[in-house]
Amino acid sequence: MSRSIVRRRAFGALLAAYAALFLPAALAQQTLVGDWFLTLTERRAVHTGILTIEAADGGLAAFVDGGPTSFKVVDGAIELTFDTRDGGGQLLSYSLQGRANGAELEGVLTPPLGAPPGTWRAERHVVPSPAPPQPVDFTGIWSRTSSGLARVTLDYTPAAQRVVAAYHYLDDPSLRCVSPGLVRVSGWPYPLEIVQNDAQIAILYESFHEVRRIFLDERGYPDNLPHRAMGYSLGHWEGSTLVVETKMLTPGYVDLAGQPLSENARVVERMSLGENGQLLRSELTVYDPENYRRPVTRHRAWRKTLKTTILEYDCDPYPFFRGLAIEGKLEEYWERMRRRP
Amino acid sequence: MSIRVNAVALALAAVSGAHAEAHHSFAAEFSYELRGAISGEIVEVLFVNPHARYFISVKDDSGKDVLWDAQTRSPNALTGIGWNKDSIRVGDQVTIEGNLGRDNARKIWIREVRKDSGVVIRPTGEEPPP
Repeated sequence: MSRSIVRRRAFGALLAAYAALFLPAALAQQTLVGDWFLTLTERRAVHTGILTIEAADGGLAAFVDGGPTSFKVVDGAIELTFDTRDGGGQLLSYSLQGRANGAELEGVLTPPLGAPPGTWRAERHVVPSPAPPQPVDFTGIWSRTSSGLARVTLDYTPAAQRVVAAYHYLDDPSLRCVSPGLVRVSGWPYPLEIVQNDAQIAILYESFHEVRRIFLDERGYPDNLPHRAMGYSLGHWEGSTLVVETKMLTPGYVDLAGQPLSENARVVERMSLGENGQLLRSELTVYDPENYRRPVTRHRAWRKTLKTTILEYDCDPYPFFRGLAIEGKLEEYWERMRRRP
Repeated sequence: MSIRVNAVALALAAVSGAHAEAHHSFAAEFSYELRGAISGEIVEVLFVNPHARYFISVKDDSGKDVLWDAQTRSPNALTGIGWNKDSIRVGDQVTIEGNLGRDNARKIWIREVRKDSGVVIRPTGEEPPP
């Protein structure tokens, strides 16, 4: 046997030993990479989100609904922690422990505020291939059943980071009765009514009296209209899912911590019915590379409520300014507004 | 002194309740932990969005009348539980208990209103059907 063959065999054995030691871990990591549809089940609520796992710096990084997480995998055991908020903006945290089970991930969920443990699972997130239109009827009055997860920390660009750092809660336009824009209004806790025909779907929100027209007639975006808080929406059916794209939004915020939205943002909503037509679900995705290095996602759901009435949204900014005067903050507020971006 | 502050033992109570339905930054404006009560006369009633608001004249430590800003849920949410624009009127003598404003701001998020007539109302109750 020649010396070179011996060398090659020795190298081969070494390679095999290396592979036996490290490949299973590498393979296990590899199988986690990708997009997962995440379902969190706790006693009172079920939340859904998009979990994205990526290779990063020799290990893995995970993002939920476009926001970074604390993530590690040791011997196949997954540990994932991420922030969210309650309706009042209080920062909360979910922790997930688990592992792969067949083609799914699953485990134990630790909800915020000492709530009893729940469960979680994740299955591969598959974007359905385009299907021929099969319109369904969204007509009716809908009341929100779930606000979904609301990630607070997002994958900010430096520009967005600066806006968030400078934000003050008084900058929230809704406090002075100004519409806070599509991303927030569409998730507001008040009911909405949908009126529909073949050419257009109108969503009448109780919140801020906002009216949205989603045009289904294959027109393009106009070039002679100003941007506005709810933008300009074009829709089409993919199977029985209504896909709505909105552009021409005015700059504003996507949430309570001052996460910014640029005038070049694009928002895509995928809306579909469930539970025999009684549940309306929406997956809303914000594409705004000026502010976010990856899309931001929100999941909402509404239940058809025949007895609900859409009420007037009588909003009066007077008490907001009166309150500022009582606090002695009015001058500071004028100055802040004058300097706003 | 008509301001009472109960800072302890109320953190648990603060976790649940009306602010869960708020959609402005309650957390930035009010304390979850610091609860208290004020007593005085209602001088202005604004039963309007985004939040129903009551301005109330309260005597401070030196006996001077100062205004406090009391707010609670939206009129539509309150209407659903039987609380309307006349539930609290200008001139009512009340004690309001709730979450105090951050940074010693003279504001309070209403948990309970006790009128001198003995009537007690709260901005909670059976929620309208989902």
